[in-house]
Amino acid sequence: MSDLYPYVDGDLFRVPQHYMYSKYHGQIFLSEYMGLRAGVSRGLEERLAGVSFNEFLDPDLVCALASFEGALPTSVALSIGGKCEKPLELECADVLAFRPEGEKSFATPPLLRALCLAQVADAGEPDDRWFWLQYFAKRFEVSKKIYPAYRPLAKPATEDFSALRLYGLASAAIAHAASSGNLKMLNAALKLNDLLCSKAEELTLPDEMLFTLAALRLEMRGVAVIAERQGVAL
Amino acid sequence: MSGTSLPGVAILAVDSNRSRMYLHRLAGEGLLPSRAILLHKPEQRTPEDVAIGREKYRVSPHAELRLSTVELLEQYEIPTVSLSTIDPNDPDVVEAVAGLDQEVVIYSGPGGALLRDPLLEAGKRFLHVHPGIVPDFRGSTTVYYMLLAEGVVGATAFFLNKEIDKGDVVAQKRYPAPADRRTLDLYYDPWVRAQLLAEVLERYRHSGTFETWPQSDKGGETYFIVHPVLKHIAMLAGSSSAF
Repeated sequence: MSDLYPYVDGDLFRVPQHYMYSKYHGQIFLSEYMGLRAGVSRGLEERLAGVSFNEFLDPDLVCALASFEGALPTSVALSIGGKCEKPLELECADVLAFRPEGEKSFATPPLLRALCLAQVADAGEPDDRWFWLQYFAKRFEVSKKIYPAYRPLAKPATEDFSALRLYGLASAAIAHAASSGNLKMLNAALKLNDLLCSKAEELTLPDEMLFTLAALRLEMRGVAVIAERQGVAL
Repeated sequence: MSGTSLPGVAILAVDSNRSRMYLHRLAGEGLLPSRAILLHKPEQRTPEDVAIGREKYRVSPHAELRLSTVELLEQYEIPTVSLSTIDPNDPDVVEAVAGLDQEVVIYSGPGGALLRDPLLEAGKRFLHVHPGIVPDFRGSTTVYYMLLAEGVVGATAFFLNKEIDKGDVVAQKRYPAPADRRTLDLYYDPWVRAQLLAEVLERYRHSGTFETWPQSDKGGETYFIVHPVLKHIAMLAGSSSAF
């Protein structure tokens, strides 16, 4: 619990943060933010140190994240990178070319996976990537949830929204787009990562932990870019 | 009051720093609206709470904010309908707006509220001042996004329509960042909006019309409520002290 940074406290699925009229605390607030993020990142790194490569459910995506500079701590990236023998199979372009239309619902996991893969491997059409980055950033900004399926007009097609893997995937993809300082993506990544930090102890699958760790590191990189541009110390 | 107000212009307001600043600024220029519809919550605070709240404003360093919107409307003798709701789409509000003689209504309602039908179909034009340059800075808390992206503050006066921040533009202008960015929320943002509103109404007083132009339907960006980390960076930038 932090008086200065309460945005990761409580069950954010049940009581989401809306960030309206947030209080100003001065420079100390940014130190608190950095400390909290670094603490969660360290915890995830320690837990991942005991995970063997074959425990990951999505080795292609894990390898793609490991090969993207700075997305993972060196120790984790090296440990994973040494196991990535086969070339990446990047079939994401076709998946991301899809557009919601008609009445048919569509599943989120393959889209988020393809988006994350395309982002870190710089694959697929930039317009398609941007469409889905905006789509998922908006879904989370508006509802503070990511559902496993949607209908056209962004209506959820299921009632369950508790799959943390989806939040980790969305955040890793969006934080990647934010890491160079895109304000809109960075805003969404910060909020997604607040939720993931609040659920850090509930991240049990190695993939979830890895996606979240990458998302936190890429978000912090984006924050550092913006802070440096503004001449603000972190 | 007739010599200092605009016969064709009314205001729809809640009590806020923005409403106070608008009335203060427009009074100074003889551009006051000639009617007001004031929205307020049913009073749930104790008389002691109300007194404490008033005292807090009495000692505000900003003279423009010391009197409540109700007090300003009384002081400037603006005929006012007071409604016990802060929802601008409430049927009582729609009825009151439809009954106005004025064609143009300055909108100074609660933050984040969106006007919908039937209010938008009530036969009036709602003049809003948005804290950002559209179409590049549409949506919420754009004052912070503009500061981060351009190092300045911006405002756009436009007529509201059914789409968020996409109405026809009357005027837009950039302003320097405030010397003390801690004043942004409470003072500088309302002050900037009031400056532009006064300019727009001054032109209207002379020409009797509002010249507008449509927003480009290409590009543009809609932002969501700023995260506190970005808000802090925007507020700390350019400040000489760390607090």
